Amino acid sequence: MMKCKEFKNSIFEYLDQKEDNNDLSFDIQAFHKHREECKRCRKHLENEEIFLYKLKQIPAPQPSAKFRRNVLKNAVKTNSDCKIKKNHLAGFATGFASAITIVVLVLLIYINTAPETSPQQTIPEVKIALFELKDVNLVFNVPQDFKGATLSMELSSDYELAGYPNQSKLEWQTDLVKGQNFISLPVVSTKAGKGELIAKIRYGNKEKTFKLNLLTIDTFSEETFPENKTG
Amino acid sequence: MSLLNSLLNAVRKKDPFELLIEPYIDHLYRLAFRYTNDQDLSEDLLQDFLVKLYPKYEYIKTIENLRPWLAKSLYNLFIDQIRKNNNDPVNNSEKEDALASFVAESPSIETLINNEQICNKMAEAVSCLSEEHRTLVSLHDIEGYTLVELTEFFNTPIGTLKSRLHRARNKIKESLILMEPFSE
Repeated sequence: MMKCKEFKNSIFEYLDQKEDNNDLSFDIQAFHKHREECKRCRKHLENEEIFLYKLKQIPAPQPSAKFRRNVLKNAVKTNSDCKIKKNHLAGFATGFASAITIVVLVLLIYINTAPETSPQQTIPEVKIALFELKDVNLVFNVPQDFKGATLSMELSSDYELAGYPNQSKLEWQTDLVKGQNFISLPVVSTKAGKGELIAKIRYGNKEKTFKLNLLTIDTFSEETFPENKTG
Repeated sequence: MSLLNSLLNAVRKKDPFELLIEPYIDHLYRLAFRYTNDQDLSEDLLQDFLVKLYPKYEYIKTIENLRPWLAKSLYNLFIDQIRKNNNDPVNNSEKEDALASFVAESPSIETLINNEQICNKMAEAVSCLSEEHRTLVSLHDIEGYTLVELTEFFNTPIGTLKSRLHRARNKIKESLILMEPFSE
């Protein structure tokens, strides 16, 4: 036989079960019987039902028409603005990178006219937050004009250049001018871990390869975008 | 907006990402408000969330039940932002404890739930809950997520969620009782 205290302790579970179809941890027959027999508990149950009903009525503001109209557009635009445009890539110009992005790294690359040697050098590293777009600015310093040099950028899997989904490698021809040539690469990482960016410049029969280490840090305490267990 | 702009918007081809997420915007907006308890913050949170979500389009389009996944992801971002800002405006557990100590002298909950202003008072009471309790009550009791869905959301067993929900509701009742002496 159910007592009043037990009945009261079971009310929320009973009401939730009606909504959620969960298993009950108490005897439902005894619960019903007690409800029939105890006027005070019946009233208590009724009040709890009203309480949950009123709770459900708590309003939340609706987005304004303007916000609704723009929020997705802004998300698309913010991502698109970071795309590398191919004609932009082709249009290398001295001093281009002035104040467009934060320079996180400056690389100096010299194309040797002599056969390339591979001196031991420390590979620079850029830290990127997971899913956050990071502009990696590269500076190529060449000793003379190179007309029609071929430039390629290759990223490890789990890294992308914004605007070029599923393309791990980009290659194009461009003119490099003597001195500094700038390029800004909007890099996005989709997985925590390490990767690399390999930049190559080919001119005539000479080639120079440069490597940049990428380190993606999961800045979320839990992964913001959880693993899809239902899909 | 000028007529020309309206026409341009009308003919603008929507990004597949927009088409996929658009049906969830109102729901996400409500959730952002439930999480942040502030309209401006909820708009910032949702905008930030969608910017971060966009590059994941190829992944999210494969998700069968997107609504709880979006709710969870939005919540994760919300928590992450709180931690990043080193600011915990929603952790009001001390406030909850303080409220509990005054309950004995107050009117009964039965009297209060028939009050016409109860929705506003309930909203205020919910806003006083800790972030965890408020999210649980908002998702389950207000937005209608089931406990089974929420076990995955919080990575918590159903029994624990039931206990938390029970405690959270009792805190709301305690807050309502405390508010009564100051009401008209």
